[in-house]
Amino acid sequence: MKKILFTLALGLSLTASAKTKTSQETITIKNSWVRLLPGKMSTGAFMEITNSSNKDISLIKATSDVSQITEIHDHVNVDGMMKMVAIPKLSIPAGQTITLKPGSLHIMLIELKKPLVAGQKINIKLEFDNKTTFDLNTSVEDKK
Amino acid sequence: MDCVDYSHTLTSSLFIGSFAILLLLIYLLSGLTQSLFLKRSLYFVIYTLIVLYAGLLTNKGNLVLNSMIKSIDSLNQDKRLYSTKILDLDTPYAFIYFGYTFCPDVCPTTLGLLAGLYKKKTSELKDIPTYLITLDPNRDSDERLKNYTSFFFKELRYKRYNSNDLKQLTTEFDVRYKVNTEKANYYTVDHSAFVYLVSKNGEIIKRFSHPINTDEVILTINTMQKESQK
Repeated sequence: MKKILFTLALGLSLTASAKTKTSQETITIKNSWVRLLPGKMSTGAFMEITNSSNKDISLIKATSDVSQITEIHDHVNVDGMMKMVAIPKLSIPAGQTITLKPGSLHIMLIELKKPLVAGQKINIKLEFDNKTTFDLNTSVEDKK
Repeated sequence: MDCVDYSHTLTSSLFIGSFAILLLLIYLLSGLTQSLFLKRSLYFVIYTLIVLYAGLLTNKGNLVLNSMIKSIDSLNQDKRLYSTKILDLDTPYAFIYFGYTFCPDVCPTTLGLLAGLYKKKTSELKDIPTYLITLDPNRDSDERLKNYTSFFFKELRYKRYNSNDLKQLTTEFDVRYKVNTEKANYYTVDHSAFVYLVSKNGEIIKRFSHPINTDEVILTINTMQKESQK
């Protein structure tokens, strides 16, 4: 009986600790993909970033092994021209989801070291201003 | 960049608005008269108008309404022309897009949308190729353009012009662009991102804003083909 109680208690405490851990994971990323383009051209990474905390968090840096330069980008319309601009940070307000999608916000992988192939796994490190880093494992998709 | 075409909504709101005013006037008129017969006749008129209007909103009626609105819209649109000598199309119609192969996001997004459209609407888009006209002829060699266009879809062709021809075409199509050469190894070109539907005889039929609405593209093609069959 003691043994059973002990196991139960251990189980409960484990669940509790797992829960605490989840609540600390304030950033979640869903539906991420990298666009397949021919050759060693730059390409974009897209995703939905959710901030489930009660504080605004900003994405401040992105890095990847596959590209020489990795930047956070947005598009602005200047005098009827679509201009891509690097932004120093991307704020994800408390409790909200920001969608990075083609023709809009995206992570730009500039000067690819090697041409990408469909299905290739890619790692992108995302640094946030709350001193956390998110290791994003995503893959190259030919979405045409 | 003009983004939204309000004329459609405007015309239908004008239609609904004028109809409502008409009903209100008849109702007020019925208040002025003492004669019960006249009052009843006016109510009958209101009733008939409502039934007629409801009829217009149903499927068939809606088509009538839409074609009315469309004919007004097409009158509003002024036709632009371009020099056929430069573009030199070998098909009656084509889509034109000004971009460049190093374009990191805007061009692949548009070309990707078009690729999906060609895949889905093969019969409608048969014999209507798309041309990518490079705004970056210095970096975009023929080989590069060939590789790039073949990646997206088989109906995608390319054109690489000398600076004079490119200047003339971009002026005629009102395409604005700026090559940002501050960074030597990697530079971008800011550019207008419209897709144009053009005819072989030099007409710019329609300009689609970025990001293109593929339903609108197909609707335009279908309407155009129906009109040409008449």
